[in-house]
This record gives sequence, C-alpha cells and structure tokens, in this order.
Amino acid sequence: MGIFDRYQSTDDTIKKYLKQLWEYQEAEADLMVEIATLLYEDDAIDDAVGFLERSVRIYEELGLYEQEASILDLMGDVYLNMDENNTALKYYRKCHQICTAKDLPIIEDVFNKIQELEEVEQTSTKIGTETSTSSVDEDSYSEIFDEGFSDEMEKVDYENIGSKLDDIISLLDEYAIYGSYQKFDNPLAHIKEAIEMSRSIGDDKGEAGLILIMGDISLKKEETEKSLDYFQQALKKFRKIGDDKGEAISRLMVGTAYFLLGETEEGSSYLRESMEIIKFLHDDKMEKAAMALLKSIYR
Amino acid sequence: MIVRIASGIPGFDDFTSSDDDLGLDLGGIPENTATLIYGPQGVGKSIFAYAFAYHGLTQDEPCLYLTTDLEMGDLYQKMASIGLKLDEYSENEMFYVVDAALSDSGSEMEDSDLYQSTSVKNPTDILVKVSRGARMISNKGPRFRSVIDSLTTVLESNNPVLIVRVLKTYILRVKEAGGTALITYTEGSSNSSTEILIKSMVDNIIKLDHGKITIEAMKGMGRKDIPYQITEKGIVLDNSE
Repeated sequence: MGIFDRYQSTDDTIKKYLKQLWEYQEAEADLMVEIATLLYEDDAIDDAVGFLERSVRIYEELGLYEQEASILDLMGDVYLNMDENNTALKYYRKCHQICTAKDLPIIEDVFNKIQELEEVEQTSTKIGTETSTSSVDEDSYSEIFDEGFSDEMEKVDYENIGSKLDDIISLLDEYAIYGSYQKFDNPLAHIKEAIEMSRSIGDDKGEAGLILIMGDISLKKEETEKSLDYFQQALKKFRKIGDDKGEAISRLMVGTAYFLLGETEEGSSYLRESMEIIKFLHDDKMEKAAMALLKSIYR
Repeated sequence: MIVRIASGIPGFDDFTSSDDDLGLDLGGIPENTATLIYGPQGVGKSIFAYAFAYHGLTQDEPCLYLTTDLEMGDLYQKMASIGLKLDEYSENEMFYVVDAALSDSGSEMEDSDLYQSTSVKNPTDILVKVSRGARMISNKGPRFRSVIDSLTTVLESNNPVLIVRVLKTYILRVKEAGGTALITYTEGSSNSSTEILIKSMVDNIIKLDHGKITIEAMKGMGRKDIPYQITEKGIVLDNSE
C-alpha cells in the first residue's frame, strides 16, 4: 500500500461512479413508471403518459431495450384504452421494431395487437367513407390538392398566408401565453430566452410551441428557409411527445414553408399528412382554419 | 455569523435567535436562502408568506410574489384582511406580482412592469416571468424577498419532475439576484419522492401542523418546535408578548 495508490485507482473510481450513475438513471426511469402507474390510476392520463415518455427515453439511452419495449407496449395499451387507435398503433409499431431487432419475448403479443388494430382501422375507414362525422370531408381537401399550386410564385401573398397561419398557430394550447411575447420590443430575443429556459427544465411541450412561434415570426419577415428550419424542429418535438395537435399544426407550417420555397411536392405531402391528422382529431376549428390556409395556397 | 432577516412573524425571530453573548446573532430567516413552509391544508402557510413578504416591504425590501391560488386582487384583499395593506408599496413599485392564478378567461389587467400574468400550466412562462421579475427587482436594492404561494398548485397542473426543475432554477435565480426565497407547499399533495426532492432543494424547512411550528432544518440551528396560533393579525408564536 503506497500513497500513490489513489492515483492508480482513478480509472476504477470513474468506473464505479459511472456504474452508480447508470444505476441511478435506471432507478429514475423505474420510479417514473411507478409514478405513471399511480397517475394513471388517478385518471391523470396526460401526466402518466408524460412520465412514461421520459422513462422510455432513459431506457433507450441506457440500452435497456426490454424495458423500453415494454413501456412502449404499455403506452400503446394506454392509448388503446382511450380509443386513440392510431396513436396506440404508433407505439405498438415502435415496440415491435425493437422486439424484432433485439428478439424480445413480447414480440408475438405486440404483433397480434398491431394486426387487430390494423383490421379495426381498415374496417372503420371503410365505414368512415360512408358516415364521416368530420366537418371537412376528405374529398373537399383532396379537390383543393388536385387543383394544384399557383404557377406564378411572384404572386404569393405572404400577408394573406401569414394571417391564415396566425389563425392556425393561435389554436395551439401554448399560444395564449407564449403568443403574447410577440408584443415585446424584441420578440425573438424573448422567445429565445424562453426556449433556453424550457430546455433547461425539460418542458418539451413549451419548447415546441415556442419554436413554432419563432418560425411564424421568421416567416412573417419572409425568412422562409429559417422558418422552415424552426417548423421542422417543432414538428420533431411534437412528434417526440406524441402531441397530435401540435404535430398537425407543425405539418401545416412545414408544408406552407415548402410551398413558399417552391418545393410544391414536398409541401403538398406535409399538408396532406396534416389534414389526415386533423381529420382524425375531429377538431372543427382547426379543420376550418386549415381549409382556409389550403385555399389561400392552392387555387 | 449567519445573517438573518426579520420574518414578520411575532415571536419567530426570538425563537430562531441563538443565545449569542454579544447579542449579534439576531433571529429570523437566513438571508439569501430558500425556505420551504409546508404542512397540511389550513395551517397558515400562506399567512406566514404574507407576513414575510409584507415585513420586507416595511424594511424597504421589495418583493417578488408568485401567486398561484389567489388572483392579484384577491391576494391584496386577503392580506388587507389581516392588516397588511399593500397599496402604498404597489405605488412605490416595491411589490411585483406574477399572477398564475388566473382562470381560463384570463386577466382583466394588462401586464405591466409590476404585474405579469401567467398560467400554472405553462412552467416555462412562469420561469421566464419570475426571472425577469428577479432581475428587475434586484436593481432596486441590495436585498429582496421572493415568495411562491403555493408550489402545490403548480405541481398539480404539471409533471412533478418538470416542476422540481423549475423550483431548482427559481431558487438559483433568486439567490443569484441576492434575494431570499420562501415557498409554501401542502404536505401530501405530491408523492413522497417528489416531496423528498423538494426538501432537498431548499436550505431551510419549516413545518406548520396542529398549532405547532417546527424548524426541521435551518442554517445554523438544530430542530426545534414551538406552539403558535392564527389570530386576526396573522400567525403569532406562543413566546411573543
């Protein structure tokens, strides 16, 4: 035993700490699942899903695939219980991907759930074409898409499209508060500060909303490429947290930005995908606002 | 020596002073720290916060007040009902309110330098407005007080893990700006792991329960307790004259 022994053991100490950190993170994720279970029992579904999402990210980071897959499966079950079949399907598919790659035992169970849901969805689509309750039916927006974009890009009316986008973005849950930042002298600086804060506390929903507003402001300044970048970031965030409304709004924004950049096919694809989600959400206000936007883009 | 600021609660400062021969160690709340006031519902946590905020104002210490249960008008009324009238301090721009207690219909008041509306459902916005308030208020003098009344409502509306991070950042911002923070929280309104995390973030922990005030943790002193009463003038410790 010598006085330099502690230096020789630095690697061991780091390894020990890393192992401890790993264990803490795993324990944190396990705790989140327990909290989510209690919240779910208390009918606090959104909060429960939030905890499950966070636990999934930790398990993924730690490479604990079995846990990650079982939580994704569980999330699918949660959404299935809420009759949100599309979202449930999304989680089951993610789970199935991991099960396939890692040969996990729950693969068969998840596969059966996917099959059952796909059958239900196919049946309801057939019925839906006859008894759609949506205020905007698919035909009406498909017609708009079929009419095509304006060929004369110089006639793009930024002001008109901008006001339609304002109507849409104001439907975002976070807009009532964060939208007011636009009244400040230097709105971008305020919003950037808020984004930094949202990142520091892990407020994904707040961050996504703020980024979307950044994009809207950039678009109004006719900085279309920059705005597209913001809209894409917001879309990624909303998808990450499974916020369908946020995703639909972001897709409309992305599609519009592509259109303004002259990339009409790409734009059309995003707009169509957005309309599919909006139709699924049965949100009349959003449908009307989205239709108004489409009409201002297409002719 | 630990510098303490007067709490505004009759008897509390004597109760927390050490028996220093020179009489230098006055009691109160340790300056530039964060204090958690917790306990069951209806034990006077908010009243403690009112007295703390108000006493600071009388000592030329401005206050940043995040209210989550009472809208600003109701807060003024409630404080006035125990003799703590805020109008003068509001006029002197000493009392800065971040109002997260608004109903969905929103505020009738316009945001101003001294009043910012927010929502308990938007933790980022709360933090933005509190940080802005701390910056502004710290320019008014070397020390200020900051209150969250109560953390419970914010926790109930959000993912607790997120709010624990908000609390951490809030405490950091207030301390950096030279302030002394006080946070109220209703015991049992979150799960035990969240409560443990909250307690681990503050410097001082005071529990109010069944007519007994217990210092569970405080810089420079050990655990001790004393009976208290809620009177028409607020909280009064039984050692006060």
